[in-house]
Amino acid sequence: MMMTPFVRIPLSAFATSIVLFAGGGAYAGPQADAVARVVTQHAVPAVLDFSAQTKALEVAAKSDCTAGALAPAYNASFDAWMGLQHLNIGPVEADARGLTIAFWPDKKGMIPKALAALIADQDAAVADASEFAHVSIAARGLFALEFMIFDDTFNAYDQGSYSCELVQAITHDLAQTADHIAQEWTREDGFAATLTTAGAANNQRYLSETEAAQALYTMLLTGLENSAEQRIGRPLGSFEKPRPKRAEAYRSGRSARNVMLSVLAAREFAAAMAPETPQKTLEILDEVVTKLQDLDDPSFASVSDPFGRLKIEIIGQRIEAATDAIANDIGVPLGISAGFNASDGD
Amino acid sequence: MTSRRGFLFGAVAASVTPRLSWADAGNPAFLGAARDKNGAFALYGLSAEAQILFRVDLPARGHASAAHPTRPEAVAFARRPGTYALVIDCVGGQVLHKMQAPEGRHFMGHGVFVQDGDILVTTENNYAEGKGCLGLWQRSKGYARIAEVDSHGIGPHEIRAMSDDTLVVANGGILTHPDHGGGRDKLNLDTMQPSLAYLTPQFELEEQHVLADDLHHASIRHLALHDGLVGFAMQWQGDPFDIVPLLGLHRRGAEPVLCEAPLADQLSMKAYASSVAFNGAGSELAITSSKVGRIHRFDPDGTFLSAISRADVSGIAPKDQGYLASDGQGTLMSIDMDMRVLNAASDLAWDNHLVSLPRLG
Repeated sequence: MMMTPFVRIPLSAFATSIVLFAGGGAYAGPQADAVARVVTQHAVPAVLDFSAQTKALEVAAKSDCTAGALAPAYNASFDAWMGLQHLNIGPVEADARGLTIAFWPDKKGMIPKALAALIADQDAAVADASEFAHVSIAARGLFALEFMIFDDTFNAYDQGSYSCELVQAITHDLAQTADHIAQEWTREDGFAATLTTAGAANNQRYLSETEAAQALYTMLLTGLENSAEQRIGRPLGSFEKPRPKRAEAYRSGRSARNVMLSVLAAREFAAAMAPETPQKTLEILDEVVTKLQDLDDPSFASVSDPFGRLKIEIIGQRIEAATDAIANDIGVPLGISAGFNASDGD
Repeated sequence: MTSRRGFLFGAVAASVTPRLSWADAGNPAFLGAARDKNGAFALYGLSAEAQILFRVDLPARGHASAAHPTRPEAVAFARRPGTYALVIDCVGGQVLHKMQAPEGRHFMGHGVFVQDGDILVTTENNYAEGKGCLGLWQRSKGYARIAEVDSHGIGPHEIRAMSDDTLVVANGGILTHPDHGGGRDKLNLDTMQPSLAYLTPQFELEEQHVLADDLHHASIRHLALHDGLVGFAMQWQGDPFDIVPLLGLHRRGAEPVLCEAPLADQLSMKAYASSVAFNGAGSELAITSSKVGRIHRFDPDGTFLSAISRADVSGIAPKDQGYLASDGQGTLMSIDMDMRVLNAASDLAWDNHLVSLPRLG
């Protein structure tokens, strides 16, 4: 598939001061070990990467805010977000930050309206970060930036224009949010510690190792379900009425890439969490990645074509099959399952 | 002359006939259904501090229950499309009576006592005719079914009684049939029309509210009541990413007020509210979303107050000035200024609802 050039910052520069209580003595069991592995091998690196990439994007916007110049750093930030977005607990879930970073699907077309209104009013919120942190989530985060950088009605702005300031405000706000998430995950009493001390007397968030393992496990499954049902399901629409314009991030040609990165993140997550190599899970997820590469359709435009559509449908089905494999490879050996009420309300 | 048999009968009668009150049941404050680690379902009585006082086995997954206003007696309902309801003696923990839904009907999981506890009203699906109904059962006649009335909508779910015995019914609007998907397939999503209905103490329709056309997918399911103010919680049957209200407030004679959190919080609920309750003080109310593990608190004027995260949270009921909430991981927690775990019986998965019991001596 086609790739945009991606800026990468080495992680090691940031992974310095993480304090973890991994598998701390009295609480260590298979579930606690699994949680500790996910935290150290998957979650913390993802959190730091997202913070680093959004910081780089902010810096890039300061030096050259124009759309063409910003695309690579934008893509690197979005890539990093795909490594983290499924971990919608703790600092990402707090204040609904996940939706502030990635407001999608925007079913009512709120993003272009919100951006157009800011631009028309030359709204002064762009000059004040604390004020900008309170504008509508439709005008913040990666999808607002996508309009500014990739949509023809927004992206023809010059250095020094209001739109340029707006882009700088969005990138600064995004980097701030990412920084808060990273701080809250990695500080001494942060969320990494909260997860890895599950069951300790002073831990009010996770009362047992099972709860922490269950919380992460739910995120693993939900992340894949979201890719199948939303990222793939929305553009598929129905056979009579395919909806290519409902594909996630089609403006930046990232629809297929986002599915692939979410699957790769799930792969890393599953490999870290499973007590033994999760053979079947990895096999299916690898198969999905191969299929996505073979598809060679970055924005899922081929949902409108019967053959392309079938291929995309199969990818969705294989992702769903991976959730069954995860139940066997991870849920069963760790003695955890999807939530009792979460999956079956009334 | 007193025979031995007669004497014994007299002794038992003497110990039973004096009117037992909720105090004799150890003053349980809440009822909740749960699944235990062996996969068995039971109803539990909980103390004011959420400790388990008694357990009664249920034949299948439970849902909510109806507490008698004065006697230590409760009726536990099967989950849709169950046809059993058990009358439970909350002192001894025995099943006093098993109620069976009549042919062509099943229980919807909720019910309420009226007329000083002599009449139990149950929400039912009259699937034979594809409409909702209320069953009336008379306690003083051994819980005989004495009548059936219209619920004035398809899919009646929770029902509450106001202080003057006016009934409030959440007609969820969704048509189901036990022959389709185990009674849980939704058969009329295109045409569903949920409503909030008020029935007089004589079971006549007094007032009914239907939301705007573009909200016809908002299934009105659960109710909370405080001082004449009704909170109704909704479950959206459209896209879970739609931005729709999940809580409404209503006072008889007025128009419903729909409440939403700010955009990002509102979207975080996945368009689903599991339960609704006022806090004990009546100064706020809250909805839970088990789908995302989130509680949203609102002022009775409709203003959003705050969100709390707790995985798999579903049951919520008034406790002291605040709330008691339950989750599928075995936790019972009090929520007021802060959240405090009162009971972490991790081998129990608490089911959808917690029911507050009357606090009479």
